[in-house]
Amino acid sequence: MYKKGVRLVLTFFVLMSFWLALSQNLEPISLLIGALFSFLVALLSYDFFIKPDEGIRGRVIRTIWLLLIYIFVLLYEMFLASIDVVYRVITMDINPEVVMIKTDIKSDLGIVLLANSITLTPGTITIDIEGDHLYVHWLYARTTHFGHAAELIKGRFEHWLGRIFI
Amino acid sequence: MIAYPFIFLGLIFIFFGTLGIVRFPDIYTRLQTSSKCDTAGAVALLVGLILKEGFDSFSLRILIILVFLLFTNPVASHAIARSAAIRGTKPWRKKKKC
Repeated sequence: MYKKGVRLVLTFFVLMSFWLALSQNLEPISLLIGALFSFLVALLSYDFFIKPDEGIRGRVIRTIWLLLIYIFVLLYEMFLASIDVVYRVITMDINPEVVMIKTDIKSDLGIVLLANSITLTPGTITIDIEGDHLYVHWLYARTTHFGHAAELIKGRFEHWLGRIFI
Repeated sequence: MIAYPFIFLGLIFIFFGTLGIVRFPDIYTRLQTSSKCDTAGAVALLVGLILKEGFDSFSLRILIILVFLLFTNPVASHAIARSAAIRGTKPWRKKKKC
């Protein structure tokens, strides 16, 4: 649980580091403009950037570390999926279906990341979300069975995201 | 010159992604290629550029673009697919052989 001021300062530091990375300029006037606008934007947006009920203090480092690993897992799976889609483009061997799967992740951010990962990986696009049910369009549907399709689509992502967001 | 295979791979992915947009039958299957192949192609291309340039401030900016792309591209595909589903576009299905 973070207090209001801590969230404001954290948002300010993230915005300011982005300003420094993008402007690459250490002159005083540039730093002043960056600090001013970082503060204004942080004032407007800290409530969306860090939710009051998210970000438990002791787990931030672990979450960032797991997210880095997760990005590499995602990139690897994404390249495998792209090679598969290239194969389907060449041969036109497709069998599209819309299937519904259920996820065990409760947190909103976790569901968003899971839906994004599903869109990027094995020939699937998330069409709609109702509660914890995801409607998924599958380019080459091997099965339409509820549980089996969920196993094939979610794969290892839910395992990793479940460790991060519960 | 480890960078050139990455750039070449990215171009191949983007080429086949675009070809898929022309060849596939309906909006959902076209989104499949544009979301996956284009993201993978762009990631490979940008990683190739980072390796070519070496690790300095320029490649830091490319890295920021890469992470941004990895977040926004699936969201855009999802938004298009959802709007098509709300309008009631039926997904194309393979004709069953009787």
